[in-house]
Amino acid sequence: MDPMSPRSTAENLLRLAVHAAPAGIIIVNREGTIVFANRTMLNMFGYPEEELLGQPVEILVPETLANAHRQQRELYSLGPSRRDMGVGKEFEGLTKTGRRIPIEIGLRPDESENGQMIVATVIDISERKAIEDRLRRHEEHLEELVAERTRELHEAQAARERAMARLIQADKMAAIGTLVSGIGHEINNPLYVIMSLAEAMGGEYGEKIVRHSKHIAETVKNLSGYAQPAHKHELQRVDINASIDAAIMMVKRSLQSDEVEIKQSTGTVPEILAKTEEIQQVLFNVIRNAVQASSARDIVELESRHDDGWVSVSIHDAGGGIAEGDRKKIFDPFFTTKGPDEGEGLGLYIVQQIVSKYEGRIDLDSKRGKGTTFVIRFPAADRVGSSTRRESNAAPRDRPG
Amino acid sequence: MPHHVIVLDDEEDVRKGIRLQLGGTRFEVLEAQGAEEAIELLREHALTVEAIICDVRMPKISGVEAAAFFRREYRSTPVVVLTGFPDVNLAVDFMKKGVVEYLVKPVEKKELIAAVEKAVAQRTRFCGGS
Repeated sequence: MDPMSPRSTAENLLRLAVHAAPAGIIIVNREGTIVFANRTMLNMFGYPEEELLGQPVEILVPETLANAHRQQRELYSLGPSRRDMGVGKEFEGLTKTGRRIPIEIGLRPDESENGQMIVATVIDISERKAIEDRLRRHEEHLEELVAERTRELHEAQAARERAMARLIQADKMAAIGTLVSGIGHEINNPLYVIMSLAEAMGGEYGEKIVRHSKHIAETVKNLSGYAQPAHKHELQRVDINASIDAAIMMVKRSLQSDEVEIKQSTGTVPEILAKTEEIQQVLFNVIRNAVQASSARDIVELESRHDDGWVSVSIHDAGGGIAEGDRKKIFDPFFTTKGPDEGEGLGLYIVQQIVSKYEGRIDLDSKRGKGTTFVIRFPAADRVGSSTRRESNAAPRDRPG
Repeated sequence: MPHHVIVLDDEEDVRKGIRLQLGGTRFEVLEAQGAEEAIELLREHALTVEAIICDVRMPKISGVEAAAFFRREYRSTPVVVLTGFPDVNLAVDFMKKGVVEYLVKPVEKKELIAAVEKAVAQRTRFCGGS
């Protein structure tokens, strides 16, 4: 053919267009042999034309996918149909150097003078995939950020609710404290008259009246006495570990039983400023409750710690736990879940009064059937002075009385 | 010479209760409903009053003011505070003012007698015997 003939010129232009196309173009015959590849295709897969032409098309497919590709190709050649480029037709190609590249393929069957041919258009989507990956990573990161922020918000909300509950509790206690100290005066005066008359009366009835009057007086004192702010000169440097020992001894003496083991793990803690007897009272009340909530052979665990200027004591029992509805009420005066002879319901009220007085706080963790942990914190007197570290399993053994 | 104890309380029944509890001791009770009355009694029985038992919450002149006045004007006469209103800080303030005992109602007979005896013993010490 004359290279300058119009037909020859058109062919040259067509060839130029095919080779310059941004997509790879490859033509495969019915047997799967590559009969044509444009320059873009050759560049994409790194083959010179002479090495690629005449090869089975599977040379461009990773080995792991080659069999499946062959089967699909054979099926396709039985009923070939046009398949456009687009989402869902992504494959992996194998370059001459063995690198896998993500590609998108469009297929178009055609009959030629040499039989059925499949014209495949191939686009290297590495860059698009990389962008998609980056986008996905950003999206995941964003989701993580959102999740983290949501978690922080939930935690902040929970902290706010806890603070609010503590404020309400403190407010309630302050109101009760004011009320009872006012009422205390109104009760104590007539009580004194009753008691002095009963003393003068004497005899069995007189003695009974005196005894019950003293009981009323003691109750009034428990309600109002501990809320009073301590005077500076009354404050002592209290070693909380020594107070734990004293409280355990008092619990042992008061319950007179050894079926519940009390296990101590006392850490090195600084002293706190308080009245020793009041700190012992706090620990006694909570430890006694823990022992009373336990069954025989249960262990009550005590731990003292120093954490960021706070001295804390945790008291854990493996008892039945506190019902959710009761948790808000346990610090209220006269609230009790015990039997009529086991307490008047002032123990935790007194604990709360004393702990609040020394600007401490009480945290409660209780699950039905999983036991209860009280954590009582007091501000450390200062950073100087600490008690000796001890580990003790020596069993002050007690049980409910 | 009688051993007088002034009982300053606005409630008559409380005064009677104190009288009952001090009954059978060497002390004779002089009752005062308010601070002015107590001051009158102090003037009248200057030589025989050995102690004052004083309430805190009272109308017109409170126990705090009254006790301060007694300690200032009648230094040798000890004051025992007997109140239905327990307050540690108040107790400390009273002690600073020279009040000998701070008792919270209700008290038993023996407690009250012990407190008055302690107060009188201190007066005796200050005054070198009466």
